[in-house]
Parts: sequence; C-alpha cells; structure tokens
Amino acid sequence: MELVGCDVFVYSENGTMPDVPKQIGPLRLELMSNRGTKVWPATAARLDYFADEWRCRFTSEGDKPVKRGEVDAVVRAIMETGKPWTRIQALHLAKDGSRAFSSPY
Amino acid sequence: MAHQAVMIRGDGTGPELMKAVETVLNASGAKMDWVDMPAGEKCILDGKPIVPDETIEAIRKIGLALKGPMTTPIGKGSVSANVTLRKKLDLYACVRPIRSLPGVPTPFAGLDLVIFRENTEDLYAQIEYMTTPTVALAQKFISVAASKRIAKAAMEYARKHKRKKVTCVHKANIMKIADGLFLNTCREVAKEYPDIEFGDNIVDNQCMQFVTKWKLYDVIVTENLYGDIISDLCAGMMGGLGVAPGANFGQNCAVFEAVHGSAPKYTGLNKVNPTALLMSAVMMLEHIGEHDAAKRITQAVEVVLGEGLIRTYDLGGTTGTQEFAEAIARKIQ
Repeated sequence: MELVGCDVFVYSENGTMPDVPKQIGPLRLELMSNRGTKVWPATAARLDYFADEWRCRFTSEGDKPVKRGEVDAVVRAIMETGKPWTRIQALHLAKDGSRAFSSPY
Repeated sequence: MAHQAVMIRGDGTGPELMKAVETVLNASGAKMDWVDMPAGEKCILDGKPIVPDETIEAIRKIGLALKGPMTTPIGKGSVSANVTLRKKLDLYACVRPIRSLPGVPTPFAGLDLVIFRENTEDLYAQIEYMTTPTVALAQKFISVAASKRIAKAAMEYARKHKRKKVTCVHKANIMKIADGLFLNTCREVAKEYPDIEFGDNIVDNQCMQFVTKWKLYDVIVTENLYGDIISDLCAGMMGGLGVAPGANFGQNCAVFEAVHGSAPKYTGLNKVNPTALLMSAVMMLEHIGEHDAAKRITQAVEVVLGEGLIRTYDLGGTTGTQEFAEAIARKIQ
C-alpha cells in the first residue's frame, strides 16, 4: 500500500484545539477532528464539548506517495509543540488508488 | 402563536409522508410555521453535500426539525445524512419509544420501553484504517462526558415520566476498558437517582431478554452500535419500522424522525404507512409543550388502528398514505 500521510492523535485538555504545524515537508495538515467530527478547517459542525484527544491528519497534496522518514518528521514536529501524542496511524492508499482510511463527518 | 420548525421532506416516499403528517397536524390545531430546508439525495444530485451547511445552520438557529426519511446513495465515499445531522448538531441522545399499539399485530403484548442510544461516538466516530493490506481496524471511541450525558438523559427521563427502572446495555465482559468505562459512568450517574432502580445487562443477553421477558424492562441506556441494533429489534417487536417513532436531542436542538428508510420503490404510490413519522411529530409536539394536540393525535391514531378498518399495506390493508392520515384527522376531537 502507498503511504500518503498519518493521523497523529494529540492530547489537549479543556477544549483547547492543539496548535500544530500546518506543513511539514510534503505533508500538510488536512484536517483536525474531535470525537469523529471535523472541527478544522471550520465547518457548520458545532460540538457542545471537546474530548481531550484530537486527531490531526497530515496528507500529501494529491495523495502522492511519501517516505516513512517524512511521516516521522511530522511526529517529531508534533512532539516539539509539547503536546503529547496518544496514537499515530500511518495512512495508505488501497491498490485501486482510493484512500484506505475513513474520513470524519 | 405558531412554532417555527425546520422541515426536511426527505427522499423517496418522504414528501408524501410529510404531506400526510401535515394533514393530521393541521387537524390537531397545533400551529406550525415550517421552514423547508434541503437535505438528502437531491442535494447530492445537485452537487451539494448530502446535508448542506445552510440546513445545519437553520436547525441550529431554530432549534427544532422534523425530518422525513432520506436515501444514502450507495457507493464509496457516500456519507449517511442521518449521521451527518447527528454529528454536526451534536444530537447526543437518540430516543426511541417502543410500545404495543392497538390493532398492530405483535406477539409482544404490553410492550412499553424507551431506548436511549448514545448518538455521537462509539464505532460511529469514523476512525477506520487498513493498517496493512490484510488488516482492517475500526476504533471504538467512548468518552466519560458522552457516557455521562446519555446516562443523565435516561435517568432524567425516567424520573420525569415516572418510569421505574433504567437498564444499561453493554458488553463490558469483553471490552473491559471501553464498555467498562461506559458502564461505570452510568453506574455513577445512577447513584444520583436513588428513586430509580438501575441495572445492567450484556447486550446479547439483553436481546434474548427482550423477546422472552420484555415486560421486565422499562428504560434502556446504551452505546451507539448496540442502540442501533436493539432499536430495530424493538421496532420489529412493536410491529415494524412503519410504526416506530424516533427523536434526536442535543443540548439546544432536537430533530424528530421516523426510524425507517425512504422506500424508494414506493415513491409516489401513496402506499406507505405514515404512523412512524406522525408519532415522531407527536414527540415533537410534546417537546414544544403542545401536550393537548399530542394527546389528541395519539388517541386518534389508536382509534383508527384499533378499529382495524383502515390499514396501510404493511398492516394488511389497502388504504393509501394520505387516506390513512385523513382518517386519523377525522377522528381528532
């Protein structure tokens, strides 16, 4: 499967959206979600509360393949923000070129 | 003074069902000021999201909506309109009353349950991956805050409506951490309501209990996936999706909807049963304080169903959607 990015789940309390870099090498912050709902970039969604785990999705432009080291760089950049990551998930394309990962609402 | 509410007419048989509901509501004297907003398959065909932002904003602003059934297009990348509404409006409590109705055939006499389903997380958090070419992972998301508020909603409902017992349904024997968190949070909330009996059951056992000892149960509180499944099970017990109402409550808004789908093969045939959507509208009337109109409609529905002379096809009859609604409207006193 082609590697095209990563989801980094970040711990941030009290409803505070973590401030993470928007671009690291070829990987850009595509979205952030909380409790499975996209919250950045802003949409019409409004949550009454935020869980303290935020998903930060980094993907390449046009889902072009990236190297493992480029994903590792995203993780290091997140660590430098001081916000602890809770989980990291590599994102791949399926054989037919479609995304082998779901999107939040 | 008229109550303002968003109306989403829906797809397939949705518009004709909504027309039937309007017939009955008009006869009840409840004054509604409907704001028609788009959502569903037509939006997709117009190149818009299945629930456009303008519809979300309207429901949030007005605080109330009655929604007809919508069609989720089949195909990769398509999203559920129902889940979109629930997630974007944070409608955390899906409430499904389950009650035997006169004239509706069912072996489960005396059925009277209310299901409270947590509506925003669990496996519906859309966190899924192919982690390798041969391994798929779906993540179940359970939070203390969401568990607490659905438990509180169920307990408050039980207290307000003088229901005696709340049962938490889970699978904490297997998912000790995720379902354990849900169960323990429900238990903590239940301590604040010593006047209401609280118990719990593992979901598979609960399903068996529903069909063998249904009278032992009163209010059910459960997670998103189990609630999805047992809501349909219990709708089947009361006579089918054609008669089962539903509502979704958030902190500041509520969306009322029938449980069933849009039945596209019956579109325009004036055939399907409007009872489910009508009883969802009755839930809406109760929510906005129109208790008298709600009661009169309920009584009229029960009289028509109980007489057994006027029935839609799913109940063994030949009466059309609109004619069924008109018969109910005539019975309203």
